Amino acid sequence: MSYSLATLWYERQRYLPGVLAVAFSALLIALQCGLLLGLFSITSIPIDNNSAEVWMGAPGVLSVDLGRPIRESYTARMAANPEIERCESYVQGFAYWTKRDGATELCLVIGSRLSDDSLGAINRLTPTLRDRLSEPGTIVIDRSDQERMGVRYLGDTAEVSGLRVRVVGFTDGLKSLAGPYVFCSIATARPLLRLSQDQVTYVLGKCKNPKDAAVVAKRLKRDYRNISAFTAEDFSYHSRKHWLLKTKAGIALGYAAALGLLVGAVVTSQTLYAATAASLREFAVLRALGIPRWRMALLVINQAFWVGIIGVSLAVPAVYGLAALADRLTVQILLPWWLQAAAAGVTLVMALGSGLLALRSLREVEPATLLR
Amino acid sequence: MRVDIALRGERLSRSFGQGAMQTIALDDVSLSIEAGELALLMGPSGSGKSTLLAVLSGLLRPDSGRVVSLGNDLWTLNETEREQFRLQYCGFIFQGYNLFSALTARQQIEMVVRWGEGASPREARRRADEVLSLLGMSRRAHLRPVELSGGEKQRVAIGRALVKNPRLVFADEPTSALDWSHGEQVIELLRAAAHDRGATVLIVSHDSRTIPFADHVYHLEDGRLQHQDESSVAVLNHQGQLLPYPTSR
Repeated sequence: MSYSLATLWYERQRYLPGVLAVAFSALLIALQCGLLLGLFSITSIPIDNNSAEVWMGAPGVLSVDLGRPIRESYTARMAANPEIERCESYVQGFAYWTKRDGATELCLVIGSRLSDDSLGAINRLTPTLRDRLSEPGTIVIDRSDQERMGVRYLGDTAEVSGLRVRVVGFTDGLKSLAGPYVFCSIATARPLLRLSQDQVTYVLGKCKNPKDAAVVAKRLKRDYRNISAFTAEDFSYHSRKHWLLKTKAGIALGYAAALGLLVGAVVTSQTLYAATAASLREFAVLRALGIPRWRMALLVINQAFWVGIIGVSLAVPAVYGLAALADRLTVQILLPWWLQAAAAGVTLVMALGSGLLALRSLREVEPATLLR
Repeated sequence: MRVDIALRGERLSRSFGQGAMQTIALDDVSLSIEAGELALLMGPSGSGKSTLLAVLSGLLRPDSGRVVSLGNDLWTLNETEREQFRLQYCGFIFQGYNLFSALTARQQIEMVVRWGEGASPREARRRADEVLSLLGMSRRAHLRPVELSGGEKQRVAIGRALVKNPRLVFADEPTSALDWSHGEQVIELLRAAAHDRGATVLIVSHDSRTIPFADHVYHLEDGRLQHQDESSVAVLNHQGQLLPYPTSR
């Protein structure tokens, strides 16, 4: 075993605060960023949960939920592309939901075709639900929003934009951010969103070969100035990014993660400093024997590295445990591999940086002091 | 017979502090130590013996005077050269054991060979085991300082100093923390390093029981080397030589 690992293990009580600080930092970064990703993945739910490959909307659209009306006749623009297999209309927009007690709630109305091959229908709308939605004035909401929307039972009614709607079913696991989702047919959605018969919010397309989606989106953008077009993947990313960067939530969570990193760096650095300072006399003997200072510096950096590795290793199960717990509390934390790698990498760099800061204690190593 | 001088201090002076607070630790001290001999530097507390050891070993720069160590004018070398000199030729034993609490006896010694000479782990282990065997510590090699007695810890510290086969060994009060039976073993080991390995050993001590083991005794008081014909009694060393031992001023 290396001298640094042997020291770390033997004096584990001394190094524990540093290890825990690293673990805490890694945990905080991973969870904060995972929370952020989970939170903003909600904004792209309408894109990520249907089978559309190309999205065409109003020019300069910032996020899927911020779409503005375009003419339904624009559908021909997409249909004109040889790569397109078929395309269809999709309406979406915010409207006021009025509960029985008169209280209002902003909701996001999503109207799509309801056939089995629909591109716009959310994939959690079962054939039964789609069948029920074919009746005008019927809607489906997510079970997680039932209480928030004051819906007591299946078949309960409420008002959207002053028009009566009836709840004919529930989806599961489609949490909302800005406002609860209200799924319905295009015919039901138009009056709720006060759209005329020739207005839609998006035109959705499916390609003969899914790989051609980018070509179609690029061509549409190039050929028409009064629309915007994206592949589903791009639009999803675009929507998340918009909310991530434009809202204070992203900054606040990022700030908290940075603060965690700073606290971790200070505690780790102080732990390593104190541990090194406690061995100053031993280091002084080595200096007297002519051992160069960089050898001792390397030992401290090595210790910092292992403190980082052990801390990150402790953080991994804790992150998964807390993410699972959050999931049970209906808070989604997304932990893609690149986020975990980045959190581990940033924390390791922090630990190594703390080691570098702790090197200042080695400046006090002076062999002549052993002879006084 | 030609005498081979390993270590020579010429007119060494060193003071600490300034103005009214100035203390003179060494005052015009000159001495020569022959190669392969065990020299004892004695004197009361505050007499300057540790300062003299620090100056002669290249750890503390004198205010004036020069140190010629194995033919090198030590204080004309730059810091890196002096560090290199110590690495190549010097072993140190300090008061207290100064052992890393987390490392075993073997690791404390291996570390010096690995870090000092860049030896492979296998080579470092071989050399550490060799020294530990010489010190009668083979069966205690795997133990950490907390599991060793004071005498054993000091033997490890000596092993750390001797593993490089240094030509100069400096020891500061190596027996002060030990009872005499252990202290005697330690002095014997250092004497063997001088007589069997040809190292020049300079020991600072105030323990008169170490005198019989020395080839030469220097007495320091108030930073000055006392002449050996001053009030003294003679002590017979192990070679049957009479050594002066000043009892008081």
